[in-house]
Amino acid sequence: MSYPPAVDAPRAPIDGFDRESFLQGPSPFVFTLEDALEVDTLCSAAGVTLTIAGVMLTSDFQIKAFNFQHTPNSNRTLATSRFHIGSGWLLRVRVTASAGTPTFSRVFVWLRTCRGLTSAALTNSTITSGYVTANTDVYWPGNVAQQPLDGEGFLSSVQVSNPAAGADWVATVPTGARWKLTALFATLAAANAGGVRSVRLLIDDGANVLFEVPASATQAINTTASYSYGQGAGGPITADAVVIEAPLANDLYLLAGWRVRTATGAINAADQWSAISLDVTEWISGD
Amino acid sequence: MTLQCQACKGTYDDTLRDGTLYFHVCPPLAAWEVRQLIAANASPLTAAQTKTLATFDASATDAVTGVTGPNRGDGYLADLGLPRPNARNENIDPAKIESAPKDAQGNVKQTVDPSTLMMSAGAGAVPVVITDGVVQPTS
Repeated sequence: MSYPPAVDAPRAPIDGFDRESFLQGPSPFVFTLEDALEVDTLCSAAGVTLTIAGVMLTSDFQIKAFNFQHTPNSNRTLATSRFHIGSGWLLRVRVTASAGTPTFSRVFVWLRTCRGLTSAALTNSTITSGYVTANTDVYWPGNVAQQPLDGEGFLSSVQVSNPAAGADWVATVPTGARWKLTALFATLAAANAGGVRSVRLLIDDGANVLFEVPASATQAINTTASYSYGQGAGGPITADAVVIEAPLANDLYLLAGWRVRTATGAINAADQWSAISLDVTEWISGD
Repeated sequence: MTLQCQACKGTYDDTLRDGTLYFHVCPPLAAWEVRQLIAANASPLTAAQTKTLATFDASATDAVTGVTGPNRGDGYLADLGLPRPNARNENIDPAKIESAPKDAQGNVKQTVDPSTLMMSAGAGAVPVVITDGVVQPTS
């Protein structure tokens, strides 16, 4: 027979025994009054509140429920809450979204144990972790712990800043995110001046070009053309001077700070890029 | 809210349609902007980049693409992606998160101005309304 930890381990006189006996704890997560439950989140969705609800078997053998709330940040930075849940054994715990409607891969939660309540607390174990959505929870026991880059990701349509006339556009992977770029669309209105415009798409790491694809056709002056880049796209399906497409590399994963941008040859000061949208799959990077 | 960056004059919504925050970053200098700076004796190019640009500008028309010499130089400048003066990069700087004032739980205090956590606030951004393509400051 193995014994639960001596600190706050309950003892009870049992009929037929001539001494107090230790009882095997029902859970590996034993809390003293110095311990706390820690909730850490990384989140890209706005307006989310999480409810953490669970049940303890207290050191005096009472079943005691707890329930508290945590508000994640919406900018993919870490938010932490610590709560005293009394002394005893954690029997079960569940995290749900009680406000907001987050979809998959937008709110990542770690449930941990720690000693202390302040920023100096010593975090000493992870109970479980995973993504919470509006309809799915993270729970223990029984949940398979995830890491932030696990799962299918969040499909996002990113509308990029319209640059000023005469400038190319750029989109940067936000801090705390990882993207897989699947497709993009943008429109270029070429002014009635200069030479033909030759558009190239560049992927760089903020400094070094990693991938460069020229559009499959040049654009005449005084025209407005749409550009579509996509995984699996080939050359032009039909000869259309103002609907231009080109391929992207498959599995084009991008780290935070990496850029997607155009470099328009012969861009004129009166040219205007607009309606720029990226089709990306996003994960919380957990970096 | 629609904003206009005061460094690049680009316009953007600070929140995507799905509720995700959008972080604006200024585009690099366009080739014609670089050439304007060169003409104004404020070249942002290094000596090596200046030499390479001269080579492209002097090169013959590309036999495959038909792109002419000066346009090949412009292509080189566009590839360089030279940063815009006083550029704005709204992405969060992890180092600034580390050094920001914290509450008792170790989270950044809610009173901290978000612009102080950006990579670079640059020339700032102002709220605007865009009507029929015309950008106007909000009253």
